[in-house]
Amino acid sequence: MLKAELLKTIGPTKLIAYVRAKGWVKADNTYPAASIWIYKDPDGGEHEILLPLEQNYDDYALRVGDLLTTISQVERRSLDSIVTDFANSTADIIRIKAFSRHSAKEKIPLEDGVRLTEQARDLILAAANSVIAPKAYHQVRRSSQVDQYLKGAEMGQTEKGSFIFTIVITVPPALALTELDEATELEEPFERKVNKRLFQALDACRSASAEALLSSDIKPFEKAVPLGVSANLCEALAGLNESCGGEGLDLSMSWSLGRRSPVAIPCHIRFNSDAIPLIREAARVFKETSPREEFELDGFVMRLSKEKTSEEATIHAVVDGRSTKILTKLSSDDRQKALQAYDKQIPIRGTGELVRRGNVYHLENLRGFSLHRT
Amino acid sequence: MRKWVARNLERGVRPNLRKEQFSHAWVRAIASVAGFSVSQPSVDDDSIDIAFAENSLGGTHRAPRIEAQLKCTSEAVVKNDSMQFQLKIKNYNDLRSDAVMVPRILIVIRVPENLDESLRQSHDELVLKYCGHWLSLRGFAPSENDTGVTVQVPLMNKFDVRILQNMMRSVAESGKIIC
Repeated sequence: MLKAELLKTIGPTKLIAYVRAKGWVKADNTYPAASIWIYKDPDGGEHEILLPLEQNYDDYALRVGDLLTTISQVERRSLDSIVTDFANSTADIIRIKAFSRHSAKEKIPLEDGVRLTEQARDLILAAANSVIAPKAYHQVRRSSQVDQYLKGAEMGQTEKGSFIFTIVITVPPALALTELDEATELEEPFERKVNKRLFQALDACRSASAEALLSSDIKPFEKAVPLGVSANLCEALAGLNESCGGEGLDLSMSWSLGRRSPVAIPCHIRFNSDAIPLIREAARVFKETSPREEFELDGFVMRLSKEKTSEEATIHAVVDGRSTKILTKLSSDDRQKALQAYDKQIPIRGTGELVRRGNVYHLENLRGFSLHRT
Repeated sequence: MRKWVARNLERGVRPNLRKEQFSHAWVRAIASVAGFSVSQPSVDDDSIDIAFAENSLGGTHRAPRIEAQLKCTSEAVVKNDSMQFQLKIKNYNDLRSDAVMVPRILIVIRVPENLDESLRQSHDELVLKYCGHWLSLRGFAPSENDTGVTVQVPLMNKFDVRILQNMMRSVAESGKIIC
């Protein structure tokens, strides 16, 4: 049963914006305080709603309830999710639906829930970083704009009908519903840019996985990097799938009613379980082959060239949880420190860009090289 | 099983609920023969129990709709060709409102004192007793009462198949109940 008090807060402007965006068409009628809208579905069926225009009418809440019930039936979505969309009408709402052995009970294990939250955060973070600069692998440091975006993202109520996780991101409403070209991103707030980029990236990732299945090649994923695909996004998707039972994922977007809805961007993406291993592999390859910025070197000097003029050193350190050798070039000052560290087996530290060439790691632009005396 | 039924009848388990269910069944029977769908509101509004609808009767009001509050009573007082019925003041004010997009009426179904006698069935017929009567309170004057108002439901306002069809046609053409 819907609460009348909540329905009274949904104004006619929001109702009109929503039905118009969904393809309902206004019909002629002579209701003084309401209008009739018609929707023809692809099967040829026709649906009708009475849209109330006067909030001060005593049956306004009942009319809104009828309208939402019909929309729920037409869109084959739960009434809860329709009401959530309207209650959060100034927000873009991302829904992540898990196909899981637990979904019949609308519950998942607590541990999975914790991971799900982290991976959902990583997913939108990947999209946000991609708006700043599309890369195959985003490193840890992020901009203040991305920080602000993440702080504004909220976890919404889970919804019935399988385990549905929602992320609510408030988007500033447009000052006027103008006819400005949607592609003119200067007019769009950062939040909307990120949300668009996320679904562009998800769509591109899905297409890339389908192509890669046939070609056994990373190239489809590489081509999708400018659209927002990255190791971070791929890892988050693979992680979400695993947290939710490993049977596939369904992601959808309900755009805020306060801004024009993007037309060219799909708002419903499904990943079947057989696409996930490819996506996970793309993440691994991207991480392996992308330079890692601000890599913190922490290890021991294994080898120094015997030539006094040589700048090269081999450091023994841990990368992704595995012991490995890293080659790096040293300045003359750093070489002196390295000699000391090598002689006395003192651990060293430094920062640089870690690049993998073949089976060998190289640390470039080494800076802050120092001995770590405990 | 017999002992269970007898025990529950003796207790008079939830008689008001039985009356409420009977009134819904009664009205649905009328609506189904008249050719209209019936639904219950999805909103927690305690003045409306049921809605009748048709998918387009033509006219200028597509898909006409009427809403109703249902009451069931075995204690109706009949006076001067009217049935007197006590309404809560909130329901009275909700039903008399002019500011509604969908017309609404009161339907009062009179039943025997012993609800077991309200239904008789044979191979040839099903009889539901006794009768339902309707009243539109639209435009009624406000009341100074705090708790309830007694309304007069004319006995000539029988709620039957023909009247429901006439009401819906009237709403389709004018948006109002004119009968």
